[in-house]
Amino acid sequence: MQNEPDNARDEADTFARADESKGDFFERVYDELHGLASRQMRSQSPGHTLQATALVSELFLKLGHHDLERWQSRDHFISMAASAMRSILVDHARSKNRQKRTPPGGRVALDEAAAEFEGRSGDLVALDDALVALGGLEPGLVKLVELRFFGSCSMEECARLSEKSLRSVHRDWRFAKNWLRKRLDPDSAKPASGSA
Amino acid sequence: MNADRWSRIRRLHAEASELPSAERRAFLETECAGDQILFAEVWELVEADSDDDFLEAPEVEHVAPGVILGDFELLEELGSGGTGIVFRARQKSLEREVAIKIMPRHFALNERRVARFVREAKAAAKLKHPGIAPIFEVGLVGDNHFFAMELVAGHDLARELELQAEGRGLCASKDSSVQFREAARIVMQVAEALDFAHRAGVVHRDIKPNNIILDPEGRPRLVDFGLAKDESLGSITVTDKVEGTPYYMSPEQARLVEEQVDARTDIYSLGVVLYELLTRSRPFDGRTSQEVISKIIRREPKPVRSVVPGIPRDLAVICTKAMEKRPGERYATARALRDDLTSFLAGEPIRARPPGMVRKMGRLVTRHRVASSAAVGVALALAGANYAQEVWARQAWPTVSITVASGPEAHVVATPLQAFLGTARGESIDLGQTPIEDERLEPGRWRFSVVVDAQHFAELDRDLKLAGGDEKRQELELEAHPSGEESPLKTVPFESVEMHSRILERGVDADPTAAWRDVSLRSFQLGIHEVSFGEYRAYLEESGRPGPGLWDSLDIQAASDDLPVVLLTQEEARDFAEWYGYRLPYDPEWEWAAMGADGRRYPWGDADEDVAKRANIHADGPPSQGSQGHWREVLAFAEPVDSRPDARTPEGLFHMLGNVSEMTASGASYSALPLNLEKQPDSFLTLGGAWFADTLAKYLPAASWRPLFEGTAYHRVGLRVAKSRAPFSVR
Repeated sequence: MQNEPDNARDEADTFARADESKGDFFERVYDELHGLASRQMRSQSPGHTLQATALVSELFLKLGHHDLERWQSRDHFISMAASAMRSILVDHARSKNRQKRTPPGGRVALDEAAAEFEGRSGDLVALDDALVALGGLEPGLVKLVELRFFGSCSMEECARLSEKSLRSVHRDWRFAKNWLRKRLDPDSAKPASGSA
Repeated sequence: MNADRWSRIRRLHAEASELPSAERRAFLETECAGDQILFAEVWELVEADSDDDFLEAPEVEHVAPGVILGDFELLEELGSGGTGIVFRARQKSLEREVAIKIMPRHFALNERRVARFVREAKAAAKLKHPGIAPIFEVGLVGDNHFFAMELVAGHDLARELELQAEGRGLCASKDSSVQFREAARIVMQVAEALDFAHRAGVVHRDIKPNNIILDPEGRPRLVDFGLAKDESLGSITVTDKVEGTPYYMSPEQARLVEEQVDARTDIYSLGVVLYELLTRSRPFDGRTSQEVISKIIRREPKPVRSVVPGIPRDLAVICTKAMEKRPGERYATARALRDDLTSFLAGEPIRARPPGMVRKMGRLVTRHRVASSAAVGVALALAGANYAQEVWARQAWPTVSITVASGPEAHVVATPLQAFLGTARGESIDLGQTPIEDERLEPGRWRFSVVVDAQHFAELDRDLKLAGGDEKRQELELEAHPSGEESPLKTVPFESVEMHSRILERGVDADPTAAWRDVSLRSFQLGIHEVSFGEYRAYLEESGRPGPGLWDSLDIQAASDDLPVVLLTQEEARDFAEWYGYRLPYDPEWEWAAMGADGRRYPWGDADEDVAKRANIHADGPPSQGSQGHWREVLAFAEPVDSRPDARTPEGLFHMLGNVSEMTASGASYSALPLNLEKQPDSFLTLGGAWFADTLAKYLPAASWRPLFEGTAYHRVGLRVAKSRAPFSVR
């Protein structure tokens, strides 16, 4: 402790800084998940689905304790990782829209993952915009969509993570989907014809 | 939209959705009572309802009975563990039943791991031996890596031992000599199968009663050969439960010396199986894995004949030889073990001889006793054997020297501690009067209670480490500052109590059934408030010690004296506490003081009005983030240590929630989850949350784990001192 060598000091400094923003940890999860997702999509046969839960388990092992001082439990981690999945996929979709350059390999791999998600959600960017709007009304519903859609969590897991009953999570989920459906595709909802 | 309207929409949507679709419209029309806009809004949502796959997870093939994996249909789950789930399954093409082991889902994400699995499974699949359950197929269907093996009728040896304890079992006999011969026969047959595998270059690495199945004729079959004994797989299990206790692990496995793990590891483990079959007890038992592992590494097993006197001497020698600590002293091959067991069964002389002078003496005397009952000689020789072993093991143990800084000499008691709970995990040892010089102690967390008298004492808690590899033996020199009531740091007393740790109950991935949740808490005292910058500066001045390493680079003098001190490493915090005769608190002490008997949510109770303000938590984080984040947040967001009297606990403790997070001495191995309380700690717990709080840190205990690297400090973590109200003593 006394007369610390300089490198120890640097390390200490780094950790003090790492602690300073929530963003750092999220970024780390983001980067790692991004890498894992690309790798998985590359190494597997075409048409293979990206399993967010498996990715999260693996990431959990990989990060060990070093970066995990920010969360209190595995649940917290899963919840954070689901948000990271959302960012990864949406960022990818946005950058694709903007025709930005991405590292070789990463693009193709994530293209497939993004396409697979978009098969169930429609345009990811539009979904993300809708989620931002929903967040202004009830942030809890956005979290639920992140867990369920981006994190592939089961309803039971969602209930545990949001500290709600399974029943009310089912209710929330149904509502969130209907709300988003309506928002994303206003024509799909039939007009309230001849309201009495 | 106002919140009221939103919740009306939510409620109406939920209620309408529960109705048959034909009734929904009428229901909404009634409920909305003319509010056309509300009606339209909810009706559109209700109309949008659909069973399509919008936002639904793709069908993940959950492995469960009924699922088909290629040629195999899963029928029934037989068991699960860290390395996968085992099912009874039907192989369609061959119309037979098999056992299928499916690896965990994240397994496939590590290519090296998969490659190793496939390589080993293929090697194991080549083993054709009547004592080995054959592997039929190694496969990958969808995301599931699996292998199919013969479904062996019968039960495993673990079950057999249970049955035998009830006087039943396939190979049970009332005649103990028949029983011993049966044990020798089973182990002999397993050794034969092992020898076959070893010759083919396959090591099992996980020999245990659960992996030896007795068919209905009582013939043993080895299963689960050499497969995926990957460390990282064992750490997270399918069920997220801690793996079974490692009773059958060899010393080289226990020491994690992977390169030494070879065929002789299997011989050791089989020796343990023999030991258990003979004595119906395990050579190394303990309440925790760590205790078992520690004994495997350091202790000699109680000789089988002292557990069960009737065990034939040769069988005892065979067992001892198989279980030698050093691989080089065991049977060199499984064949040699098999041969000795065969000789024993045939009534012929065995080849094994106990190595080493001390042991040999013991054995000669033992022989002698058969003729002349020289019992005293036996006792002496056995004591000698234990002593030799002890001396060998203790070479690498750390040493501790303790002096008292000033004042009268003191009496020192060393108590092994559970590093997370801070409770005694063994008997206290009297080390005598100070100065204590080069006392050699077993590795682990210890408390040195340095006692002048009942009122004046100090508690020094340290992790003692085993020398290993390039690390030199740890030599600690400690200076104690025994103190009493005259200390300048004000504390609040707490009585002893039976409680259980809530952090282990929720929020942390630990086995919820584990007994160590329940804690007998000894009476203690805890600082009334977080240690302030002023108090820390006074200490620096008084002790003449240099300021914390991290402070040099920061303009820390800007922090006013009444703010909580931060940016100390755990060592620096501990040194501060010890200067005044205190120590850092452990989780149960802190939790009990903060949460009380009923586990209140907040220091003041369960009332959740104004939590953020009362506790000084900025739930959404400080306005500045990322690049603007800086240690100076302390100045902006932390509050004086004795502020917010309305947020005190009933006993008067300030800022138990919020302000700065507080260090504890509670350590655990967090690198492999579930949380491991038995390994050498690599992380420590902070409690109480800080001014910046994540969503989960808004109520007690607001815990967080931080890596224990030397020199690591955090700008949101401070400390509070603690001390027992009476030191440990030797009973």
